[in-house]
Amino acid sequence: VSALDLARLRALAAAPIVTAAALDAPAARIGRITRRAGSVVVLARHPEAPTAADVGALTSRLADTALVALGLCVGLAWDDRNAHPFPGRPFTLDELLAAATTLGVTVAGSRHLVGAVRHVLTQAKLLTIDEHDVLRLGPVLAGWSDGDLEVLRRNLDVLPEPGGSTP
Amino acid sequence: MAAPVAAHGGAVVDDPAMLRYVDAVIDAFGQGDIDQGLTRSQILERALRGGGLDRAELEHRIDVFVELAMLLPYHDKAHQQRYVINTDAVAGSLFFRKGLTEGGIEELLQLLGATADAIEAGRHDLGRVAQALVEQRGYVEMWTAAVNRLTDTATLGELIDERSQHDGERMLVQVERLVDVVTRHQPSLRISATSLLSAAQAYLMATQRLLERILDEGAATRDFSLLDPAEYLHLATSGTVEDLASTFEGVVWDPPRPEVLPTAIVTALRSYRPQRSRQRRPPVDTNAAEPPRDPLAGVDARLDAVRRQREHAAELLLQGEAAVELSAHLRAAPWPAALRTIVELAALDGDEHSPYQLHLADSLIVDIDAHTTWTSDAHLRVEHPKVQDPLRAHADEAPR
Repeated sequence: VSALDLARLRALAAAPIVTAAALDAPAARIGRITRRAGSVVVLARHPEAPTAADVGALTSRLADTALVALGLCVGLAWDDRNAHPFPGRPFTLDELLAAATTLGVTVAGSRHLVGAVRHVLTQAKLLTIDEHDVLRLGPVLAGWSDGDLEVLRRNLDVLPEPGGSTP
Repeated sequence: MAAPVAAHGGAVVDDPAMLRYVDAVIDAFGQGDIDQGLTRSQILERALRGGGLDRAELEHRIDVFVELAMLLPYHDKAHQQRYVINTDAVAGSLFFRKGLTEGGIEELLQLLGATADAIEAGRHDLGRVAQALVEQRGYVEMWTAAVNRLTDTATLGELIDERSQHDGERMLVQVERLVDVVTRHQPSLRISATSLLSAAQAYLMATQRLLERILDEGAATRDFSLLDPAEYLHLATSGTVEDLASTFEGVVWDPPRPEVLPTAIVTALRSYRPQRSRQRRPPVDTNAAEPPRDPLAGVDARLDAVRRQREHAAELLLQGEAAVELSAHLRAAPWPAALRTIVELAALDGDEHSPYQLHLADSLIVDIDAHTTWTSDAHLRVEHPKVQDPLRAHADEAPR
């Protein structure tokens, strides 16, 4: 069962797994570690596993526009900078557009950001958006390690404040 | 002969690495200048030159070699310290080295072949053949037991190392030949020969089990290094898509998903520069105060200047003559210059007010040594209008 759950988790990126602890050993064998993200479980890289760069693997990357959009979203949702940004606070699309304007993004450029939010980032489960355009960080971000968060904490000046103030 | 592997006068060494010491001693005698043998110190010096040997252990080994007559005193005197090497010991060293690297299978195969040869040549009597058959069946069974032990207990790495030391098919071929020879020359020993054949078949099956286990273990761990290039090629050229895909039937693949690291987000935010469209200023009209100029004004003057320039060039070619052959000039000129000359002259020729005429022949001249390789005969001619002398014209018109 654990092998099946692990395969399901790898296929879906995030899935409700009842006995997540049973996945620890099989996940470790493939260089992963389980992390609970609310009602679902996600797989993160095991701290001792080699990175994609270590093994010379080429991974797909987000376009810069999508990365900028995600960075703004993380800044807006991360209300307690001492804690993990996931799940953070919900925020609206208008807040995101305001933060983008502060960054200097034009009206035309903001359309690309909204497109990245609605399609690329939500499909990758990095963000969720509801019918009222309320945004939340996606469960995949729960896989960020303390080391990853430290990078963000050292560069808080580029992230918008949760209240919407300028970076 | 056993000296190379003797720990001391009465025992064989435990560690095969000890053969390095005998190799070093034999190598010491292989470095030349040994007509009168070598002294003990020379042996030590030469053997230690290669490095990696312990001096105390080497001295101990030399004592053993002397004790077992691998090193023979050049003179049989108690104080004699010069030694030569016993050739039997060198042969023994080679034998043990080969046995260690090839497991002795070659020697067993050789023994089977030599026995068959001896029976065919009539060198072995009935009793000796019977003894050889029993003895060699025992050897084959020993090899079979060794293979079975490996198959049942050895790790994959040990199996891979050992597999080259067993060859069931060659063994069976040699035994079949021996059995055939025995059946023909000593038919009364057919039962013993058959027993030997059964033992060889058991050995073949044992080696096949060993290979099967290697392949099974290799497949389980997806160790493709166990396949040799020929097997890869065979599979790639003859295997179906289903066969090839079956290798990964049990493999779970993660769907392609972007890897998002905070470092990339920070980099993107820091380097993001929104594109801004800037309105272009209209060009500044510096001559706004001056009246507009007619763009066609002066065209005639410019055309006239061009025509005069062309006529001047034509006159240079004519050198005062009324006609000139241009072929030599064209071949001597580099290609762009030759082309320019023809174009200028053709323009003059087409000018109805120009007295110059260019005639290009249909001939084609190829001169690979010339600057311009491909040319045609060209002829330039000028017909200046005749200017009448007014005085002479008046005289002509006067009544005679």
